[in-house]
Amino acid sequence: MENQINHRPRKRKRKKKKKSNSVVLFRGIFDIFIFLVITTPLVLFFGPYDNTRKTVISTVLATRHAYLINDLIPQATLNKMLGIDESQDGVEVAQDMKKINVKYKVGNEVNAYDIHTQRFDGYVVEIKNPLKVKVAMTKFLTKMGQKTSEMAEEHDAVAAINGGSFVDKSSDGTLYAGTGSEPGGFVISEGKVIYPTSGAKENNVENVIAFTKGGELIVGDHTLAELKKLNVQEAMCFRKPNIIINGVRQIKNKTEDGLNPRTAVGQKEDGTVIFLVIDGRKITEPGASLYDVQEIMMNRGAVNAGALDGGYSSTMYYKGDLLNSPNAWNGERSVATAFYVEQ
Amino acid sequence: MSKIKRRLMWFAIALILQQCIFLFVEKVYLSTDLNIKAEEVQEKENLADKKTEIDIKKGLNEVKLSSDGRFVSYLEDSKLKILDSNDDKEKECALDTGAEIVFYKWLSNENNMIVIQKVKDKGVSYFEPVSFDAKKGEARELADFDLNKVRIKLQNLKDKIDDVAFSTSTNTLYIKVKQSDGKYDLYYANIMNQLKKVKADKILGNVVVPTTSTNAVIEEGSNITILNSKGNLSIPNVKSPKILGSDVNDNVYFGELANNKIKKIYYTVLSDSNRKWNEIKLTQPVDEDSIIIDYSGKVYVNNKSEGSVLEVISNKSIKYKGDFVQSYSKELFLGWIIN
Repeated sequence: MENQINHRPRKRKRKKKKKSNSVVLFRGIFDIFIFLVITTPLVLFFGPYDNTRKTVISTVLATRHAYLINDLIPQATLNKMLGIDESQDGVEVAQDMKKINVKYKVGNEVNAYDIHTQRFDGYVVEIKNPLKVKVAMTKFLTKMGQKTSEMAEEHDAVAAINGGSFVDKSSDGTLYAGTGSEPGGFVISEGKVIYPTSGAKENNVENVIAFTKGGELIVGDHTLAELKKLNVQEAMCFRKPNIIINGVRQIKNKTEDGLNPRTAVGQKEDGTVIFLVIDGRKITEPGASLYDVQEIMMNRGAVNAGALDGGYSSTMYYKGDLLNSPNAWNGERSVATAFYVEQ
Repeated sequence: MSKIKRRLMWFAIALILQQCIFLFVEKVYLSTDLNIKAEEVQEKENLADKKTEIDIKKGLNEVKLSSDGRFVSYLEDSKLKILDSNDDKEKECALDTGAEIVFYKWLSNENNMIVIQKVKDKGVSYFEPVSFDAKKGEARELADFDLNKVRIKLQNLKDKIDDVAFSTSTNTLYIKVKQSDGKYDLYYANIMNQLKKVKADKILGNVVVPTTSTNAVIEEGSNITILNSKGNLSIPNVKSPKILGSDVNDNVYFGELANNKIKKIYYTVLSDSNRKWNEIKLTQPVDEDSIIIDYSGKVYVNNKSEGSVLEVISNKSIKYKGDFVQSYSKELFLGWIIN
């Protein structure tokens, strides 16, 4: 009897406790959630985590959703957050052509390499003879762009990467639906200016990726007139920053331009050209910063290197197949220009 | 009092959790200098020469060819299978469990297809497009930058996918849904994979997207409209036009309907400010569905009873046995099934 009496209240108590336990847990999780929602952005923007902040901000800025940040934060504050020093902008290091001695002007040895890291997969193609690297431009100029692989196949190329900037508008004016119908800046092929088709401005400064008649890679800001003096055969334009000049790293910020798919071109001391494409924009593989691109280029021995159009445009074609996997339902994006390696 | 204490405790847990994640991202994920190691890629053996004949099994449904003819796809036991003619290996487009494939279409210049599956999520049914890369054998979801999936909620379980229209060049995708009452809805997913209903409860016919454009050209009632532009499209001297197709050169093809047959084909580049209309006269009026506009810009007329396909411009005729499947672009050959 005694036992029973003693038992009952205990049992009841336990039941009560059980019920309130789940309520407490639910409330607790709710509290955790509320806390995280409110404080995480604050910690991100104003906390001590510099690299994380820079990466998040510059990743968003490098997409077409830049307004999410530009509308919220004034430019001056943004520059401070990203550690951009405007006074340093515009200082251009001159390339020292003596640092490159093109060794292979005959033959055509091309090698492919894979790079796997925890943040991205990369693809490298190295071309020993730089004279084999040529510019391709969409054959439907002003109408639409072409896929890098299409241009590669038309030129019977060994390898190809997507090229420079282009006007990103469809024929009915929808922004960002550009097919790559017109390149940005200018395009030189076989020593001739093939875009714009007439009235090219000789003294407009553009950030170029170019090859001279001797096979030297030229990166950085140049005018058409300067390139002509340097005897440039192949050229297209993208935008700053430069990656490596004279063997010196040009990018100090580890999170430069955020994590995105990338395309870049570099050249080794012996003239070997490096094509680099990095995948991204997937949850497990967000992509690479321009700093990462620089480190890969340094690792491969590049003396000069510059970036081409990244994001969904990034494409690497090698011997009949795409090496990277553009992360879109329609596969490869069409672009205005490409670099290819002739047979 | 204890309530406040308890909340503070939870906040403390949240704070620790948050700081741990930040610390991890900052100090481990982003700071570790990447271990860059390039592995040389070994050359693969050259693939076998392209075949001119592909053997497939009997009794398959929805047989379609990829744009270069390398892949044949079909439904077998309601599974979508893809046969690679290079190595005779069969791949399956594996979807989420419980998903049902209701529609699929090859893209016009890629070895990718758009597959639409019907899925159930918390008791609600959706149409969900995915893209399948036949070379890699991978399916991928269509999601916007916030990783929201593109999906269309079924208003009625009898809703069907009638067609999809796209331009791969401008990343434009339209999905046409047929409702149980015979009317149609049209959905548009833009380059950011943001989905919008652009036509609701309309009588819609064929829909195409011109290659360089994002706005669909639509048969609406007995008229032809271009999305986001006013009025109807008029073709000189054509009273009752039908949309036939579009091609790589940005042309859109129309037919003139008379007594339910087409006797003349008209085509133009709609984005040109001065449209130049081109005409193709057919030797005899034919049914609309026997005209095939290939993405390469070739026009074919299929003569089922004779078992031949005529390429209209060159006037070349090809005979076949069995059922005609479709044209494919690369080598101007045609696919058909020999029973």
